[in-house]
Amino acid sequence: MLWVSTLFTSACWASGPHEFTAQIDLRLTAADSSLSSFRSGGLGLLRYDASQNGAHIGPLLLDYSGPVTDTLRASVTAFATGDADKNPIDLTEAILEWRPVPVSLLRWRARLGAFYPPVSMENRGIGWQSLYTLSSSAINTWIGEEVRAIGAELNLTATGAGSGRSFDIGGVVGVYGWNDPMGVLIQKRGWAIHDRQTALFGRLPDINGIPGADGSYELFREIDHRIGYYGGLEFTYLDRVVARALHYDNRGDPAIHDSQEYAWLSRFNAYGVRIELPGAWTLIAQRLDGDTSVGVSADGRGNHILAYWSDFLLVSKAFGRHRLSARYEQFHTTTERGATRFDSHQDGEALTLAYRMDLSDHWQMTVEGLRVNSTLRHRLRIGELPNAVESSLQLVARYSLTL
Amino acid sequence: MRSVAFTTSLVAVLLLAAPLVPAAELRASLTDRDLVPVSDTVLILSPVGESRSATIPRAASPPVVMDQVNMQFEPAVLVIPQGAKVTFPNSDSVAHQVYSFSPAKRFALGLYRGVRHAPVDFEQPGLVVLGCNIHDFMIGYIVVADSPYFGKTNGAGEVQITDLPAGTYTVKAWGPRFKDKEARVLQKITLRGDDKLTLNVKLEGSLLPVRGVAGKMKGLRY
Ligand SMILES: [Cu+2]
Repeated sequence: MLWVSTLFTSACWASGPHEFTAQIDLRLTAADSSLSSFRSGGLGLLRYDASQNGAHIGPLLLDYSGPVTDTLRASVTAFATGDADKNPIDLTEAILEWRPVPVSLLRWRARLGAFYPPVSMENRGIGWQSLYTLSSSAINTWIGEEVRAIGAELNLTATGAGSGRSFDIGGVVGVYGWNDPMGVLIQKRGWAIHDRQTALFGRLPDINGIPGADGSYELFREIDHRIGYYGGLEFTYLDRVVARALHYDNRGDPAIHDSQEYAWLSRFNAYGVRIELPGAWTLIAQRLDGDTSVGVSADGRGNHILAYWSDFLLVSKAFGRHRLSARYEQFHTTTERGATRFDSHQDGEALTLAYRMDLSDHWQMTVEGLRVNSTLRHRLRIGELPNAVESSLQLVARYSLTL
Repeated sequence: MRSVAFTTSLVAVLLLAAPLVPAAELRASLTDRDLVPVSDTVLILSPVGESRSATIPRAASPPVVMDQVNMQFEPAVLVIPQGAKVTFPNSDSVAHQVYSFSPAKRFALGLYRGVRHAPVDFEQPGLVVLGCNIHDFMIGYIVVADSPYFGKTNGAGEVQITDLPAGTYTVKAWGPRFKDKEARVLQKITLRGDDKLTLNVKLEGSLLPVRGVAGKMKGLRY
């Protein structure tokens, strides 16, 4: 508490262009599920399982954003997840961004570093957190777990506001490495719904259903020395509609592995739309479908191929300092090749209800109820029924301070 | 209460001013083609012909404020006389980088919080579209009027322009919902003495929907 008050007193002089943000959560969690969290190697889809019911301090977020020159901007985001990751605090994003001041209707942007490709329509807050709910949708949970572009991105947008047009249209391309193990989580555990982002140097335990078992994944590694890419389009209508489509391909060579892990070939198409309506209503819909494959095969596509898709609809309404959000989603994975060795078939749906309130400039409260009904075929391997209904209730008091 | 106070002070002003120089006044209400009021739209009365010489540029006045609150420009539409200065304080806890590449005024203010930059001069009449280079969704408008006689419609689409010297004026309108960047010439009017003219303007053609439905977004980064 002492450091909080020290920071608070120093807030008076902090008015330069360099922004430091600290955010800490005080959480009460109550889960109802017979499965252990994937965080401890289980086949449950929640971040906090029933064995962790109670109070938690954290996660802690530290964020810096500020100018390097007039047109270069640096930002760094780190989380302390408080769940015995390899590093007690670790980076989730680190970006050097080129933002020249527009001098015409064409607007250029470039990013260098480790960042999220533009997929999520809901993770718009500091630290890539959702503005609407605590837990991200299955799609964006997975992006936060397994996807990070470590490379460069170029964005060109034709803006409309300066010309009396009501829309902007833009394109984005990215090239990156170090995203080769991507696919291992969705194959072994399937989709999940939570707000834990994998850190750049973080580690997740092997998900084999046996808590505490050996083995772990590091997701942001270069294994096959092949460059991946993504390309996308974005359309914006006034401040009312944003629509995006993106194709992502890590161009992994599934035949190649190093001492720890195979390279996975992972590709997806992501579509999203966000609509703002009068009366402070927000509608968000996203869909992602793709496949991932691993292992040696004659056709080079791997001896194990998993196809996956998910979609969701989120409805949110703000009432002054209050916000109510509801999200319904469906998700699915199917093993298309190699099911005799490992059949990771998942089917599920989830409903999330969240109430959020800004108590003051620094305190925000969130109550979130989540119910996930899923079938994961290889839960049988650990003596569980494939079908499970997991639900959780979280109460979060979030303190944040920007200097 | 406010309108009563406003009317009272207006009466007081008229009582003081009337015996000296008779001044005319224009009340206008703007609607779209479906008769729905159009707010945040600027009305400019530009003197024509001989009365043009009567146009006295407003004496150096304190800078006008275009604030930034909750990642929005406040006001969303600002109308100023040609030659006025505008300050761009930032009332948010996050930094903004305000710029414009409109022909009427090109400028950029380096990334800042609080009040960092000297006021900006607006010498050319016309429309200045403001952006923030950090928050691409932030859009604001400054209309630099070529005449000191102007006003902006309120939520009911109404505007009142007072203290008008006798003469002939071109009535022009511009608002962020207009599809064209140039102000729209509505009509010519001639005012004598203490005329009190009322205009009901129906804007032809379709208008863009209003910006700003997304509202305040605390904690927004992207
Ligand atoms: Cu800004």
